[in-house]
Amino acid sequence: MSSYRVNASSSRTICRFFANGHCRNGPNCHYLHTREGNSPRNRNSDGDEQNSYNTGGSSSSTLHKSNSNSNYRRSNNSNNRVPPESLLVCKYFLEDRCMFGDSCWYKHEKSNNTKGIDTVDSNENDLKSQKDKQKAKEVVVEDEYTCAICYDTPKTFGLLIHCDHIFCRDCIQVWRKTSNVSSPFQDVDTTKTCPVCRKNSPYVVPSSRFAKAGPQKEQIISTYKEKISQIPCKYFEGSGKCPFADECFYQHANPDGSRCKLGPPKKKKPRSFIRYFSADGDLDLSAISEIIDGFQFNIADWDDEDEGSWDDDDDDEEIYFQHHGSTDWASNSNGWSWGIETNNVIEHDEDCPPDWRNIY
Amino acid sequence: MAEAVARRLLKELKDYQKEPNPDLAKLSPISDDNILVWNAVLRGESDTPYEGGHWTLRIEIPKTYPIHPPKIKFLTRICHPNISFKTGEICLDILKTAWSPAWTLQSACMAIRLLLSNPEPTSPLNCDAANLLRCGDFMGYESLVKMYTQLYAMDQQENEANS
Repeated sequence: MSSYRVNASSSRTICRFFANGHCRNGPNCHYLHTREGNSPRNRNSDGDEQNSYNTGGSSSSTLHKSNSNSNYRRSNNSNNRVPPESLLVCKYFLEDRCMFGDSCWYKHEKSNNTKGIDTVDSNENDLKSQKDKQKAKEVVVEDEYTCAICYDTPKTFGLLIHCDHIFCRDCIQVWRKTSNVSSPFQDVDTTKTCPVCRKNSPYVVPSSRFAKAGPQKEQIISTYKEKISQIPCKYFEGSGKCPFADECFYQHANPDGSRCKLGPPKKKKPRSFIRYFSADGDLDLSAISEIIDGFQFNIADWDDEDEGSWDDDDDDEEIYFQHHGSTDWASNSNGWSWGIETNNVIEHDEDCPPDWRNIY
Repeated sequence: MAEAVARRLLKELKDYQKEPNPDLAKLSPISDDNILVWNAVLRGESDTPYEGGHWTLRIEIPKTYPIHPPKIKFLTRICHPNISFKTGEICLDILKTAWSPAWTLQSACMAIRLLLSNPEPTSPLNCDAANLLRCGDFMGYESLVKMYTQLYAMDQQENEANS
């Protein structure tokens, strides 16, 4: 602080405290003690206040101090004692705590301008405020979008075709893929549906905006389809075949550019049960024993799309496990049920009364 | 991924704490260190043989939750056709094949509570209880369940009250 003052003394600037009549350094002051006209600020403050002002001790005075330094000189030279800042309203005055009182550089008046406009253009303002409120509501609503899977606000929405539930694109895609990945228990029938309402949805449309069912959503879906119809289908490109055939959204282009017709897609059998067979058609006992622990389930209706070696007509090798959750025990009773239970609690058909099927 | 699980679980915990479910006496992680293992306490539904009982559930949450279902089992012994008497394992489709990520721990617990009053004796884990139902001996079934409720689930409540 002191070194700064020594440096500053070389420039022969006028001491602004002296100009106000209260320089505590008196004749030892590094600044010029000359009186050029009246000070713009006839401050009625005592020496203590000046002291704090000088050392920057009071935090509330810093704004005045820093802003007034340069303008003071300018106004001194031009004899224009009203600094440009006086057009601004003192923010400390508005808070009723301006320590400079009337001598403050800044305007000390609580402006009623806005109120005046309010009364004159009240209608316009009402409209405006209503619009603002609506906007605010929209913002709030957007914040309320939460993915039903991760509970966060989605960055990219994954729109389902037949319902309006909200998901992140990534979340819903991970969920829809689970049936193919690791869990043998996840049913295709459940993963391809909406997690909330279980409505079937053949595909997911990524979108940066959320839209409920209506023209907006239809537009999003159609633009999405249009976009991906420009992308060559990776199945078709490789082999000229595509499992989705004509229902594929990607490009199936003939050499001349027209769309290649593949006919309707081959219908898959419903894959509601899981198949545990090795590639040569033998029952993979190790795979079964892994999941049998504590579980009983039904293997039937094999989906033989993937493994050509499996002979579908060979019914003798089909094994039915009765799934716990299924309610159609009686209808499946043609197949033989295989009760498996760990922890020595064993339930077999033989344990049941012979006529229990008649009861249920 | 693990972070996403923790975030979702914390939100579920907050939701439960904000609006505690009268049917679920407790639902919280067993310790502050591990958010992937929770305990829940079910209250038995009134007007059922389970009335007045309190059953503790242990919920183990996979790191892939909510894509994969939590593993829930009874710690308190319970007599029910679809719940293993010895291990407490629960046979409920929504905890296995019919799971959906829109389910929460709380809703899963409520589904288990509903299972208590809606047993499915055709796919039993507790054959004795299921056989009674299959034979139509509802009186016998109810008294059996009541007995086990008093024997195990009421005791626990008293123990909790004492401790």
